[in-house]
Amino acid sequence: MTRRTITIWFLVHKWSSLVATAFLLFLCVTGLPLIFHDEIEAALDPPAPLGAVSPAVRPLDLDAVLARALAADPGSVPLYMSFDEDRPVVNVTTGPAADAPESTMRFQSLDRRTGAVLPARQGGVMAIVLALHTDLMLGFAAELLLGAMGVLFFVAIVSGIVLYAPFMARLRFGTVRRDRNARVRRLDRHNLLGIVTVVWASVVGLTGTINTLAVPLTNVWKAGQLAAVATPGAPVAPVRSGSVQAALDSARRAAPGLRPQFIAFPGVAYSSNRHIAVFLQGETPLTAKLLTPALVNATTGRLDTVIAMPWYMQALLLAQPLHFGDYAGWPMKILWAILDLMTIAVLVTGLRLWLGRRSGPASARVREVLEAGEPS
Amino acid sequence: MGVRAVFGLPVLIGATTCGGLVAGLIGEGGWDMLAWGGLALPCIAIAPAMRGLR
Repeated sequence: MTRRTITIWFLVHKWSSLVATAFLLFLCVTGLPLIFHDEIEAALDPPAPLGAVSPAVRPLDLDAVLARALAADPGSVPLYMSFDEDRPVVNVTTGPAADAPESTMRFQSLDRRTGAVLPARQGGVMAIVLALHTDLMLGFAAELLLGAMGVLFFVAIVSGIVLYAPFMARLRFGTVRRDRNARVRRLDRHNLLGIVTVVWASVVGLTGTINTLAVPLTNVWKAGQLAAVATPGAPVAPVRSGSVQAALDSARRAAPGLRPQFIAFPGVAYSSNRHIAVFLQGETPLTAKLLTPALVNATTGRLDTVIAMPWYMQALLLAQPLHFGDYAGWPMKILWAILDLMTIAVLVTGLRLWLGRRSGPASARVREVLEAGEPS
Repeated sequence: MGVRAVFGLPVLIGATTCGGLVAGLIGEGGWDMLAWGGLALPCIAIAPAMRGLR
């Protein structure tokens, strides 16, 4: 590699890192508690205990559950229905209209055995941390900005890999020269922490960027695959009594072996104006994330189609576990947190190297790279 | 050292990390343990270098 090539990569690494570091530090710090959001929420705001019911009691059908939820929110329409994995609890989201903004939606959890509406959970501190992590609580433009920071992070990682080669040409892997000055030690730790976290940091950074594109990707899916089975300009079909359980049953018959994750009612982001969309998932960690929507005509009750989601929606669905690390038990969460802390250390050491830089042109920094931090 | 020597261990650690990320998605039980092993390697690899961290 020529000195000029190294200079270019050095400048790419420097500026991509500098622009993104403050955002990345913020994301790493807010991301740390989010790894353990299940445990923190369970501790701070535990779910309401379910009353004792005879094992002989059959769960209510979904139409009865929906009727109870709508009775508790008069004048509203159903938007979504989801299912707890480990409890007989159905969650119903209602709103004043199918296209209602999120702030006007109401979320209710109901005991499926009794139809009782469970006490509302507060959301609390983890909801605030998630909102900060997602878009700094500043809306979609800020979400896209964070997505761009994810791209810059990846550029910084790639340029860091390129610079690692000349820097380490005279050093063994893992070398930290404790007998040298603080800057050399910091350079060694920055390089070591950076190179061992390359794959994890790249995956988390890129999946974070994909997650910021959830709204536009969903809109593309809706305008493409969903529009192909929808009637353009059709009014939002009302949800008939008795149609929800029937929609779920016909979806499960069409896709045996899959279980429902959530139901999207007509007119919402994940359905067409005339379909009840039943989103089915598999049993393994991978297939549980790759959803299969079954579209049931809300008026006729006929199953119109079961469709495989396009690649970009599958990528979006897979990006979520790969970003949050919540898919292989608590040891995975602990390792995820350690890798997050290591990434914070890479960012902090990089920032301190820049703040403590010696005066001089970029060529001096390039010499530092070529001579492993010890210019002769 | 040549590029191959410089990147030998980092590529191994990266491949193991990648395998761990994928293994956790495939299944539970043994797959989970593979995932933990894959992600533990980068954490273990830096341990000797972190002595006397300042």
